[in-house]
Amino acid sequence: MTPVLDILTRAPFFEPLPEPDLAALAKEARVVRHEAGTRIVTQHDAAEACYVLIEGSVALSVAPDSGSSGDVVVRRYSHPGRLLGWSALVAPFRYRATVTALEPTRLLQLERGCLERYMDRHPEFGVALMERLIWVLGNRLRETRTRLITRRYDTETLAIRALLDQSAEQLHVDSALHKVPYYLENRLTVADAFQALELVKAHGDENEREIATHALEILRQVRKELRLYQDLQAVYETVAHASRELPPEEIRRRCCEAFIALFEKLDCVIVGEENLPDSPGHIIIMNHLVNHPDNTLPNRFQLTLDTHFVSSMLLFRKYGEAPVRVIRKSLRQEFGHQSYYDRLGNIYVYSGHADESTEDPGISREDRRQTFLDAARDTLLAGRNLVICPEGTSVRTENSPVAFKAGAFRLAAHVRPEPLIVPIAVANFDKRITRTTLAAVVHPPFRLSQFVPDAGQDDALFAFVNDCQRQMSGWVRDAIDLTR
Amino acid sequence: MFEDLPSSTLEQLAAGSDLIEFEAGDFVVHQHDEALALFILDSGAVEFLIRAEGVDDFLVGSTGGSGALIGWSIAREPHRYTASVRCVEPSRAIRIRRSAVEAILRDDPRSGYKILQHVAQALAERLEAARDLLVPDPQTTAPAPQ
Repeated sequence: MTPVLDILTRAPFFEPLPEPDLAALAKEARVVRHEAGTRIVTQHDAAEACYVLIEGSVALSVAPDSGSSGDVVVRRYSHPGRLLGWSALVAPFRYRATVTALEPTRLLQLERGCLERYMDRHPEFGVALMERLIWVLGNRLRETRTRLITRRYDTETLAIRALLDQSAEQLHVDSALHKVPYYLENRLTVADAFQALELVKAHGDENEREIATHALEILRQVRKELRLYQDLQAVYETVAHASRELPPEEIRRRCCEAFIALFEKLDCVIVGEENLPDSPGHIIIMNHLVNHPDNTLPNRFQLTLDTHFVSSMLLFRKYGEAPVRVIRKSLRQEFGHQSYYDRLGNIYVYSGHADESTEDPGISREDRRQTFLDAARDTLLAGRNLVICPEGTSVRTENSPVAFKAGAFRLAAHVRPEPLIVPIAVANFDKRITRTTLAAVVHPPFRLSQFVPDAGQDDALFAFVNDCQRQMSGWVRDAIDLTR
Repeated sequence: MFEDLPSSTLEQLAAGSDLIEFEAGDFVVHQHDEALALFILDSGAVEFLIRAEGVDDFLVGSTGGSGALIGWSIAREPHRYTASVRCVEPSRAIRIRRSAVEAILRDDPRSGYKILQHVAQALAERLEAARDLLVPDPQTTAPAPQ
């Protein structure tokens, strides 16, 4: 078998056609090379040849109807054996897209004239070739319709269901592909969906392979999210199951490093880092965003992404040391929450639910407040940053922030030398974080005493706290604008 | 559209065909039904709809006017329509039975090749129209080839 015939018989488009016919065509075909960036065919030009991709990769682009300048890339292909320029087989024999080499690329070129002459002499082969073309174009139409559904509904699971539904007659009822939409329904079985698709892509029949390949393309973003979710699981394990010998400082450091690796894979905007004080030991206040439910771990715990972002990407990077955070004391059923935060050496505050607990009824609310203030003061005086979310709750970006509590500000008044308060506004951490741009903006720090000389006067303090909340609200809007 | 076929083939096709009238809203074919016939529109206009779990009557294209071909699935196994086709106005179409087309493919491959070229052309146009629906504004899309 000649090398050219070998290429033809391996190409999915030609593979089922009779070998004697392919051998005859192989004698007329020739290998062509294109450098990166060169056009192989141009949309609307006369289609004088079709091609089989041997190696390299290409982009398919089309000129928009709107008449706007510049082509739009619609697909990229790198699978050897892919048929390109099929317009040479169909009237009116004009290329329907531009094909450009993305890297040095080799193709097998089959002249239209040669194909037509051969089919004229062998009309049975013409019928077989047209049936093959109709098969391939039918698959591509199914792919395109599925992409339309994906874009319209923005949910991949629905698109996969639609893809399978459009292929129902061609799939065996025991095909593993039927399981995929069910695997995709639950975060914990998404990895199984990919395993099933990869297996089918490698070992399925021709039709299954085609569908699995297309499904994997549709699910590219989902796979990215899966990897992120697995990263979150790994961070949790790093912290909650760290060796008992490790001190909290070391666990916080490892946690920050893991989060930096995770966040570096995402789109994010950080502004105002120059506003961070030269040395640590200050109070960082920030708005707090609810987590997207997709990030919920199997134990129902959600790693708060916004505070970890500020801790790792801003503070750890600036100071080489992870900050301490002020965390709400876990609810009794929140074992995941407790297992995680216990190891980080953060400072707990007790919200109403803990005060109502009978675990330590002898401790009053005032005692707890004093315990918190002392622990927090010691942290600041030891030269560590303290991250506090003054809302005491988390909400969506659009509603952020809600009312501030005064604790962070009372703390500032309680510590001498007086620490700076560094405001940071964050946005979009409540979205599906692989599909958004995250933002964090550091604003100029201030000292409470500049605005409230006597923090013991509640009226003045509360008025200032409310002003701060209003200011933060504007900053969050600015952070959103940065991501548009 | 079949003017390039010999008269004997046209007669053979005509023997396996009939003319059907549709009201606006009538379905020419239903998705998933066995593709038993090819339709050549004589007048009117149709739209293509697909349905899947969670997706009801999703519009994926339209065609109209004399000569528009509907039902390319007759030429592709497993011979099931991939979309439902609904008339958007009163329409008239020639219905050609699949068995008549298959007989020509078997007995007269030269004519069969020409018929399949027309089917492939209709399918290519459908694909191109669907792809055009996908092409977003160039300001908001992927970068040009590097």
